[in-house]
Amino acid sequence: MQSLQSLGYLPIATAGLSPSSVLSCDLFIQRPGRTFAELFRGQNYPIAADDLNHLRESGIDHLYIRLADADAYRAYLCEHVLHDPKIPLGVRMNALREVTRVAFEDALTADDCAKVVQVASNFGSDLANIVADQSPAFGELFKTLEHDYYTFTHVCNVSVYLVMLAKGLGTSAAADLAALATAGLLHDLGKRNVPQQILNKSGKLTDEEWAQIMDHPTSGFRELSERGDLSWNQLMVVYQHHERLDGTGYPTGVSGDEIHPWARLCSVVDVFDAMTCHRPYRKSAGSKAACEHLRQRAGTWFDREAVSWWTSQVDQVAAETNS
Amino acid sequence: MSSMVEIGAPLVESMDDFFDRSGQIPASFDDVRRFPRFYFRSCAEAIIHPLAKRPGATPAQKFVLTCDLSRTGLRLLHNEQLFPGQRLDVVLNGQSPRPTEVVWCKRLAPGRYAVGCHFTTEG
Repeated sequence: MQSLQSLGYLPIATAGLSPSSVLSCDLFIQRPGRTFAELFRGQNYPIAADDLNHLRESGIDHLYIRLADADAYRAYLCEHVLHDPKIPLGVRMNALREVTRVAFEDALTADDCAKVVQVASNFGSDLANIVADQSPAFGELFKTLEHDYYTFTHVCNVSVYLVMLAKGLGTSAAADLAALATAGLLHDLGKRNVPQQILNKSGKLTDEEWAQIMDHPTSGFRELSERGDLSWNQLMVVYQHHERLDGTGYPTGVSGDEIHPWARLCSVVDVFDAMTCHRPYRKSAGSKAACEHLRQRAGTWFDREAVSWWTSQVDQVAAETNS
Repeated sequence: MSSMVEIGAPLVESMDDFFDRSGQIPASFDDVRRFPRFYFRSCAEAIIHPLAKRPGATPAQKFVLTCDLSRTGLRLLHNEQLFPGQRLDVVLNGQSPRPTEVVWCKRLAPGRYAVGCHFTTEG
């Protein structure tokens, strides 16, 4: 059956539609066996609770909008989904990711640092609110994440992981969690100065290419430190997330307590996500191998306590999935 | 002068060796520098400014060991980590302070950092 996506439609989850809410664009449905989109609800026509129940009972978990209406849909998500604690965690997380992704990528394309920071800051607040509203278990939140390798997916995952890890290790203040999430989204900002062909190169990097990659914490830090709206803690996440406890990291080669505690957390989840995501030139190493990598280097490269908590949680999720 | 020795002493293995170097630094095969570098070994006074827009921090007067310089910048040793973008006014040869900005900082050993700076105005 021909996919509606190839015909210019965008699938949206029915779980993200609120009863009685109004979407300012047409909603379409693809009936079984049909190759075309059928109008389900005209724009500005309220979505009834009965209709949503009927869709769920029929096993229809996706409706469609026109691609051109994506902005209207994102506005709907901001208004009705992101801040509604009754909506399931996975749907809210998807909404948050969808709303942030486009704004973040637009701001990066426009080379608008103020806008990038603003989007990251909104993301941080929204993520902290979701965590505060629903107190999700590690596994619940973990399973909402994607593992492709787009820059946004990576920084988004690192951001969510950072919040999970910090919370697991005892950080409870919503302001701190929001600040961490914001820093997580910005931690690789300097990579936009590195050419894509270097970032995605499958072969061995030359010394010069390595030098360009190793400059990204410094360039990100420089750009962000000129602004007054990020805390020193957040700047240290950007600057020090490739430092190692034994001093073999970069850009400075500082060791032990010279590395900011938030940066130590970031280095653990950054490596975990880099190893578990799929890249165009290699498959994911898998969470088991990533945990093993972290454990082998706990205390030398990575913070021992952070690795211990993180790997135990990931192991638990894996055990639940397998059982 | 005693404070200079106190601060400078742990920055290098041997003061004699450190100050013994002079002349042009040989270029390496992968050198991409625009201008030649020269050994410039001295104990210099520097006003180290906090990073821009960091509230509460004030400029501090310190001593640093200069290692080498070129037309565009200099390398120095300091006992504290400095951060990219941080401004330093360095007094070279007793002349008026030269404004510089940190480009990079590498930790060499505990309490010993190499810092690369570029001059922010023409000398």
